[in-house]
Amino acid sequence: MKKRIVSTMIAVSMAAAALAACAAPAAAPAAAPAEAAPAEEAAPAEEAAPAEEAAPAEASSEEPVTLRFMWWGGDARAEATIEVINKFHELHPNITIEPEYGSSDGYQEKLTAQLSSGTAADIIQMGVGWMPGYVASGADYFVDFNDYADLIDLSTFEKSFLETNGNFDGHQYGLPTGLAGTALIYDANITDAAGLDLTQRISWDDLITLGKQLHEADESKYLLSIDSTMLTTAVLRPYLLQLTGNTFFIDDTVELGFTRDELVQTLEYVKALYDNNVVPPAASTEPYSENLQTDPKWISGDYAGMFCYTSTAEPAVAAVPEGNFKAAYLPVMEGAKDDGFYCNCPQYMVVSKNSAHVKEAIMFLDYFYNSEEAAAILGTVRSVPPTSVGQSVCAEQGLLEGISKETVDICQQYGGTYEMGLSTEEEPMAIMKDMLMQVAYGQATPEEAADDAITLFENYLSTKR
Amino acid sequence: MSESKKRRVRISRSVINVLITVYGLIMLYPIVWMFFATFKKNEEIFGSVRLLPQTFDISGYISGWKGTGGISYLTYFLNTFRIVVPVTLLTVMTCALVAYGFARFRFPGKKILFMILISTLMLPNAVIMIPRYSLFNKFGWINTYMPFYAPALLATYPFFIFMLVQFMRGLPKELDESAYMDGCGTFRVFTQILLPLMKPALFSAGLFQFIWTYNDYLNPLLYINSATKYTISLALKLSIDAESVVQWNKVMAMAFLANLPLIILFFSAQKYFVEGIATSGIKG
Repeated sequence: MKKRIVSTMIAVSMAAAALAACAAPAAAPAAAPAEAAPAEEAAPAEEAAPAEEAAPAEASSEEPVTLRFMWWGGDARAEATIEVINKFHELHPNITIEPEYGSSDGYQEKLTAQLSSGTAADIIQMGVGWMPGYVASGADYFVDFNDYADLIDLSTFEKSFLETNGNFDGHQYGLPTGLAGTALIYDANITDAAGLDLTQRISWDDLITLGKQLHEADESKYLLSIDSTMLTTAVLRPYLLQLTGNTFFIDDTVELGFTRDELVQTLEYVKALYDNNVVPPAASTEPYSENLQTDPKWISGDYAGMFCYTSTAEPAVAAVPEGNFKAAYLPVMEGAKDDGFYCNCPQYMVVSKNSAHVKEAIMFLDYFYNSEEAAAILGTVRSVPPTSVGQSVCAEQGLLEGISKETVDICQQYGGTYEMGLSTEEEPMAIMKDMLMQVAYGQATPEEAADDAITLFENYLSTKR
Repeated sequence: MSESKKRRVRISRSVINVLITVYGLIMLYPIVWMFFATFKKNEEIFGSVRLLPQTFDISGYISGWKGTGGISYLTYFLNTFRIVVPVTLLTVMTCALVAYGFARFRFPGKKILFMILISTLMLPNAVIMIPRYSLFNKFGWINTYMPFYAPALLATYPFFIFMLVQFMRGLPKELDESAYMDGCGTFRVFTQILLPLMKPALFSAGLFQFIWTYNDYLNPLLYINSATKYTISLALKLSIDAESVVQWNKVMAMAFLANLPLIILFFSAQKYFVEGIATSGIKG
């Protein structure tokens, strides 16, 4: 594990160095297309693109084209996506799409290596958290979908949703694959038996009252299963966002969005979650971090609910077949300055600028997003679809039921500030998790943990200024 | 007197045997558990501590073998062996040759070259990951198996070279000399005198390389793009995803099958393996 973290870190830093080197050639052809000397890799692709724009008809009808499409995900997603690829090939026999699918494990490392050396696939499924980093690196990796509005119909997306998802300074580099966000699910069998009501809107303090009540009635039961990741994304950042009205780091000024006292108050709340047995001791949940649905105590029904993502709600529910799961409202404090929670997307689809066949790649994405046939095959393998076409097809097929739809519906009711950026990058996330775990394990008081972490946050920010 | 001594030896022998057997069973338990887990449903795997499954349901093997997207595990197994077998053979051959040079000959710059060789041993693999990727990319080797064959062909495994050099130094030089007296050339000394004597070391190098290449995840992940060229280590990860419901019996069944070659190999080559470790002093 440690070895992998180290190797990841080194890989990322090496990639950063490689990016710096690549930034120059990528920019050069735009200024002087003929000057291809330093840009061995970037140049052919750049030259190919304008040629195609001049003669789009020939390019898309006759010439055989091979595209690469890379994504991660489980079996169901792979089967559905491959079927869509095959259907598209039937419609456009000259376009062959080679699937490159894999596990999320190591995906980002591979993608970074590929992007920096210009070997990335034409169509790429992209993690929402990584995208700001790739865009900020200055290397012009991705195609702006707005430039190809004649090839792909973007009006099926909700306009405001596109503006907050995949849009970077007016450039639509990514297309959201679905609707997603933070979710709070609970097993109504357990809460009903204990006489708890989670159907109403709740505050953070309600969570503590409910959790205490459940644990007092039955010592072995806890209200919420949570790990360090969800503690960061579903408690720490939303709580602070509601408290201060600022994102964790303010991206514009590169400063902390909170004062020390506000952070201490948040950490005290986290401590109260553990002290009042609302959540199980960190020592028993942390071994299952990021895979809470595999915790034997979750499966045996010792935990009434879980903080998860709308995309992980389904596996969590599937792990407890006898449960009767519902989605609860997300906690909001009284007098909150911001909703704290928001609806975004699980991944983006992007098209590599290095691709020799940008047009065909975008044609495929148009089919992928806007064809009823594709929508019927894809269903909700990438969460509830973001397009009106996808949603209506899924609704007709009765796919928009069950826990993922319920959680997405609730999530959409929150209009919190979108925080993707500095606050969601890997390094500060690690600091946040450490800070929270110190409090959770009782190794530090909220004050001590906050002081230590603030120093580290400031260090991190100073590298970003 | 000697009777009672013999008896004491016998008793302590049987105590040791019992202990070793118990220990061996503990070591084997994960594999046994994995084997039985292939027949269980998800709830049974996570919800019950019983070793034996309720029913012996082999559907995990059948649906697992079919794989994802029309590519069966037959392809993945063949791909893996297409990488592992040449890599292992090439590594053993070229590393032995290089080791022979360092162990038996004096040539200018030998010390410096050996120092460079050893210093690359200290180089963390992660550091050369990206440069190597861009190099292989320049050669046009991405999405082929060349990134695996080429380093093996060029003996870029300093660990094995060092191991073999050390082993060769332990072989008496007099053997070479008498072979020279009988009219052998340097190459025949290597192939007919030294190689047969080095068998244990060669076997352990080969076994290690086999296991490491077989288990390798990161390199296939980096260099191979097309699903039709995936190895088993990549394929096993395909079904595991936090955002989907994982059918663990499928994963367990395929993981068990993936383990079989290693288990068989280990038991059949155990004699050489243990000898190699004992004589060259390395451990996995």
